[in-house]
Amino acid sequence: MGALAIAVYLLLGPSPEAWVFDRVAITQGEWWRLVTGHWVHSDQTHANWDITALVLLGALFEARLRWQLPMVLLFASAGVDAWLWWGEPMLRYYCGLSGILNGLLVVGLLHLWRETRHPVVLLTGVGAVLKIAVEINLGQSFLIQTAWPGVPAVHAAGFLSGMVLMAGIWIPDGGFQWFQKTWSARVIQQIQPGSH
Amino acid sequence: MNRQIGIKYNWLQLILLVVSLFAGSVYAAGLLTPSDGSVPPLEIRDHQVDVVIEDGYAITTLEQVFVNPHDRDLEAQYSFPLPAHGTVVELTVWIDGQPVTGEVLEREKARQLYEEEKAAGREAGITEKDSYKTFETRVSPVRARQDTRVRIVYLQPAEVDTGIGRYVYPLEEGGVDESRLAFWTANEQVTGNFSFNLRVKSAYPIEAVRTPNQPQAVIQSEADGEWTVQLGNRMSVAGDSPLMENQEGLEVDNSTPSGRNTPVFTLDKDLVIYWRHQAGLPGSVDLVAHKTADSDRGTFMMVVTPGDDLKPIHEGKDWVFVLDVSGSMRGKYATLVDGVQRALQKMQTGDRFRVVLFNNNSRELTPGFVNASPEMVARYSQALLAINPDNSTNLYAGLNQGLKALDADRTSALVLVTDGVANVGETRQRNFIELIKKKDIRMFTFVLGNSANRPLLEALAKASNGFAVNISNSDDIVGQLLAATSKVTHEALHGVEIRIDGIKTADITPGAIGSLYRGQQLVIFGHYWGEGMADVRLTGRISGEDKIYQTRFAFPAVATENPEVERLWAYASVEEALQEISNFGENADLKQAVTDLGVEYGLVTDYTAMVVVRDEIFDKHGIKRGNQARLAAEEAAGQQRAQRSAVSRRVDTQQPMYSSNRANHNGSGSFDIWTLLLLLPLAWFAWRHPYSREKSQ
Repeated sequence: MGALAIAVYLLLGPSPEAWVFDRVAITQGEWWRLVTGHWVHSDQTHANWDITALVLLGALFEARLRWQLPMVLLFASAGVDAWLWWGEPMLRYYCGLSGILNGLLVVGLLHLWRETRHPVVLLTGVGAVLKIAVEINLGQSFLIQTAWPGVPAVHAAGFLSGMVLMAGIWIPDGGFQWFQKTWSARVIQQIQPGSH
Repeated sequence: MNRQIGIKYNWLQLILLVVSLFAGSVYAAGLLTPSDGSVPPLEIRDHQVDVVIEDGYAITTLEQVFVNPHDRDLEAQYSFPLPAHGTVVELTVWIDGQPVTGEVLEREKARQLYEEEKAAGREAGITEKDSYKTFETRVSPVRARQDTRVRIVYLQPAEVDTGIGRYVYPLEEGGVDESRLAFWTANEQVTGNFSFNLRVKSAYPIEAVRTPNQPQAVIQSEADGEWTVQLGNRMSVAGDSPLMENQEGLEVDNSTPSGRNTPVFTLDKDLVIYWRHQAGLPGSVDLVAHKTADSDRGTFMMVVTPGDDLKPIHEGKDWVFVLDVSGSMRGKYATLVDGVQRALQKMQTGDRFRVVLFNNNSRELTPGFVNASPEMVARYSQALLAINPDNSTNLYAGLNQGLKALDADRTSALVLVTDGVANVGETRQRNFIELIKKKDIRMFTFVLGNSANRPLLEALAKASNGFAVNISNSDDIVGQLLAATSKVTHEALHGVEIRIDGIKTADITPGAIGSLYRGQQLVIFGHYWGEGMADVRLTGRISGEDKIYQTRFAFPAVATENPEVERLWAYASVEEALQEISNFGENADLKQAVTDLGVEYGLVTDYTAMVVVRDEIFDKHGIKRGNQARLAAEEAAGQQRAQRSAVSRRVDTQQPMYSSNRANHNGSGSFDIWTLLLLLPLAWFAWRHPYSREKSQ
């Protein structure tokens, strides 16, 4: 995937018109931009940081997630797209990997936490949340100037997408199933006549 | 049963809407022939358009060949919609195989000369302006079974808003003039070669070029900031590929009347081209000047592109939609409904809206203001679809009703959507201005189509410190709406004034600037004397707070690359004078001023026309060939510009007027060093604890 992202940048250059998230073009049926928009970048700096992060996250989590990794990225794409569409209605053009990589980060961290329960994992997660919160508060990305201005809320959208994915599907013996077993059982008890 | 009736009713509305769309599509640019059949129609064989957009203005060159397949000599009358703020500067007719360029005379004199020559059977041509609607070109004679070549050139300032440039080649006639439609039939088919070539060149990097309604256009990025768009019915993409025929979006019909094997192009849809500048460009001031070495006086065009320091507005607003549902809106009504529906959907919590409709009279669709809840938005969006546009246009009645029942405690805005020809009730511009000035309300006007009374609608918007947006049926309606929405949801710079010290300037236009909304550029024309450094201050108020932006730069001693700037200044001055005439009535001084500017600078205006006659006839009447000389200078400058890369016209690099970047609609998600630092301990940890599937299981 890292090679793919590099190839896309080298072949198509910065913010290729046919690939970026373009709200107007999407309304006219160019739906592929919902996916491709995340894989193109506005300039060299933007591409460098995002692709480095992709390679690093891939190296960290590819072995653990395997075939689920592209699924995570697709799910996070949907989450980030939904935010862009309804949460940023004045934004016409968007590009960049970082939104969906936040989804990958949270899924990978939760996997790692289940596996090791090591405080480094927890601290990394807390650090990521704090960074996103500060960025949103500042209204811009940290210490980086890219050709297209940063939209910090997409990081939160990606992060939450990852959380939703884990909560809804991937927490065996916990999370969703735990909810089903405990809270749903209590609710059923309460609504059944004569349960008191 | 009721449900069945409802379904049938909805289908009926849908059919009516579709029918109305087709009904509107017959209005187009083309050769006019009397509808009574008294004169047989001519053909447009070739229609070739070349557009160059550079240094803040567009030059459009249209070359056509008219064919007379009949046995008698005929007059050709070609009509095309007025481009926004555009003026014809050249009419050339090929006489005896040689091009003869036209000269501008007072309109009546030009007509008289044309009619004399026509009556004498000698070659002649004339281009006139039909108020705000069309340019009309007549050429006589087109000899029996022969053809005639004609070239028309017009200039207009380039339009860039929120980082997106927009050029419209207007072809779709608005269908607002019913008497004209009854008298004339337009032949809008090009039976031979149709081509459209556009070149846009800018020192501010362009990231992308887009043609929303022409997917088969060939768009190429050339070196050094230049992009080209090519379109045509005989186009060869690779140079040796076959003709591109019958592709989606291109109106082609192989069953040509002349039996040639070339697809016919129909001149009935505007061609719209957008170019998107790179995001993150700084707010800037650009200066394009013209001053010859032997002249003390120069002409300048200053383009101010503000930095984005206008904050979003979050307080709830009252919106009044005043919508034109007259008969001339039929071809545009779908665009109107689509736009209004999208605008309603973008309303914020706390917003309220009213909808007023007008044709012969006005009426409210909503019972006063209603909250912009999803249910109300859905209800009135549906109700709008059920309207069938008909009758005339009583714009005054619509506006008057829209301005009633405003809540003084809430911020109000009026959105007028119209094709803008007031033909019933009050029609005097002055009274419209007085009406809008009675209320403290901003008016945002969406001008649909090419035949709208743009001068009236722009004057109304300006009088209320609002803005006017032109919309073509070929536009990206969502994109236009996004740009407009970002304006009304952000603060604006009001009471804008500009002051230039350190150098003598005069004849500045616009005389009163008004307001600047998010993403808007300010284009100022004027004269200057001498040369040297000047202090430029732009002042205004944002939310009641005074703002001053200033810079310092040099006006050049000699600048000869852009002689067209003189004509652009002159036409901007003409438009201001015409606005005064519309507001206060025609007076001899203003009429003379417009005529003098038109004749001196070779511009087709309401009081001047461009006429072509044989060279010896020009000599016989003692008509100076001022326009011929001006065109030669412009052509030489154009060739010089074509040879070189785009040149930066930015003048405030030493002392930038703005500290922030320009407004844009772009955004990106990017990681940074902090994210990677955050991941390093994790990487170390993962390296120390390699993943083992067995262990995991």
